[in-house]
Amino acid sequence: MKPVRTTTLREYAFKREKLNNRARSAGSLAFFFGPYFICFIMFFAFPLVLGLIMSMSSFTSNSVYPAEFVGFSNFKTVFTNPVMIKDFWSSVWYTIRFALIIVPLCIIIPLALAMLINLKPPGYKIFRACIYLPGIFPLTATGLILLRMFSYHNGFINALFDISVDWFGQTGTAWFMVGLFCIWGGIGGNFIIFCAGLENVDKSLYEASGIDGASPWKRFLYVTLPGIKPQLVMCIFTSLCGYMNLYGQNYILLSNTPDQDSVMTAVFRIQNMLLGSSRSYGYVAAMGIILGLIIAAISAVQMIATKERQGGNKRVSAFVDWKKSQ
Amino acid sequence: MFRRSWIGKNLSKIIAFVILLCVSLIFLLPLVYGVLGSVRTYTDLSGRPESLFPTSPAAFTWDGYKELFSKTKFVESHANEYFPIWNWLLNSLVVSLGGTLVYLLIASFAAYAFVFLDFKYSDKIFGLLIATMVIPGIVSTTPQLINMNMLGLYKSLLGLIVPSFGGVYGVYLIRQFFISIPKDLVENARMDGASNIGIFFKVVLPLGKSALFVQGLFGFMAAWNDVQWAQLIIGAAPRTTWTLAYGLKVISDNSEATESMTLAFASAVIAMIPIFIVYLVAQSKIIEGVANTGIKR
Repeated sequence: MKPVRTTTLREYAFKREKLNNRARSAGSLAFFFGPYFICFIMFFAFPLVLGLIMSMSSFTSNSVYPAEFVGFSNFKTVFTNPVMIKDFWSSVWYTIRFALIIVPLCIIIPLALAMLINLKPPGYKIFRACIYLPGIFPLTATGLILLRMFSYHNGFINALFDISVDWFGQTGTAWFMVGLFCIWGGIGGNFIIFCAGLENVDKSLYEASGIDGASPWKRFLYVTLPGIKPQLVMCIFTSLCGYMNLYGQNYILLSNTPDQDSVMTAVFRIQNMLLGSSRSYGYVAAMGIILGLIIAAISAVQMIATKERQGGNKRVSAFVDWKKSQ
Repeated sequence: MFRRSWIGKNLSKIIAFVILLCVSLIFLLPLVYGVLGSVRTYTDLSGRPESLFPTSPAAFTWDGYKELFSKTKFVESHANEYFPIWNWLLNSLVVSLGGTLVYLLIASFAAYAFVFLDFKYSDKIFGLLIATMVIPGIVSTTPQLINMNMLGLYKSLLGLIVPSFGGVYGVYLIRQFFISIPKDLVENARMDGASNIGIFFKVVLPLGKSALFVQGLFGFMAAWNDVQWAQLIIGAAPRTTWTLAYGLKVISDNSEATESMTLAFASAVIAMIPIFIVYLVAQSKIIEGVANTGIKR
């Protein structure tokens, strides 16, 4: 009888401890992971689901709650309604067109500057800090300065060069100013990433290629570029996604441009519809999803195009690798 | 001989120096123009627009700042020139500092759970979180606004803060740092009978604080600079609920008509100072953070 009893006791104690441990670890899991989990559901997952529901609902004029399920008719309207085509799709096109011009510039210019920094001329750390500096400030502050600097009447630039260009008044120059703003206040991140990438390129490869008599251009193509490929891919990806979401620069610089329709980006259009009184939430939600799909599609094409051909690699893991690779 | 060879050897460095000097000056020019413009009279700014500096001692003035801090009371006849700047500063501080600190706590708790509390499906859940990072933010802008409306946070500062709490990137970044902490340290502490909360605050947090610092810096700057979400949430709220970055837009729009350029420049400088201080103090950390993690703004 005795041995049996001891085993039960031991088993009981063991079981008890296991249960206790499990309860304790469940408790700490709830304590540590719970807050974020709730926030993630409330402020990330739920809005996504809500967006899907909204894009398939109609709204009454004075409520933020979806009124009626209408299927895909909002999407259909966005694609077929002439006003939508004129307003939304033209702004999508402006956004893509601008991105196609600005993204290469936002790669080439910081790369060139980073290569100069990499030569380590005296004071290069100060130069690096100066070039990164404009991007850290609020867009409204730096934009306000640019607005005054390039102002038509008594602007610094017009007076300095003795010209009278209405920089923000015409569609063409207005977009030019947005581009200037994007380069001045936006290349800092790419620039720093390239600086770090160039620093890590294997120096012995340069020496070897120098001994082999490779021209500087060849050296750039076959040593430098492959050496910073992860940084390059990441910067192209983030810049492209970033400029597809272009809003602040246009909003801040171009509120007084007469032809507003011609300087509106897609996000600008969505933002305006949200701020307006029309309460067309169903359409706006649908537009957001459509624009999101376009951005996702562009970045997917870009991911495939710049990835080395390795069959069977999952897209998500490729994405994570980029994020990891400095 | 010696001289020529020195130049020859360093030619590329000299060229790089000259180009970088020019580029740096061009990049600094608007900032210098703005800062100096904030201490120039309107007559000087408009009369000698080609000058970067105050053209005479008489053209130097602190009036821009004085005026900015005197328009903090609502006057019916000058409703457009009502700039409660102390409220804006305080609101910006609450949103950026408060929001960032709370998110850091939530996110580092979650990161701790992922790394040190091997729970069931933790890898799968983390993979799912990472996968959501490819969803462009614009998809959830509209529903997030409605969500805030439903929660009663529309037109309130909390509506500016809480959406960032669901952010994935901070959790990801902090987790990457926590992974590099030797597991033995945590196991030893656990053997000694330390609770998870104790381990988190006494072992993990001190070792991973640089990750939190980097995430905090960028969170702070992003919140301080935000205009787009602020416009949606607090744009229709009374001016006392605005943030500084958003208020600047109104000052800017207002400045041309009212010839208050000095005041506008002064407000821009006020908005830039806190960020500049952060940059001065943590410059190397910020540059390191961009270089190592790819956060940009």
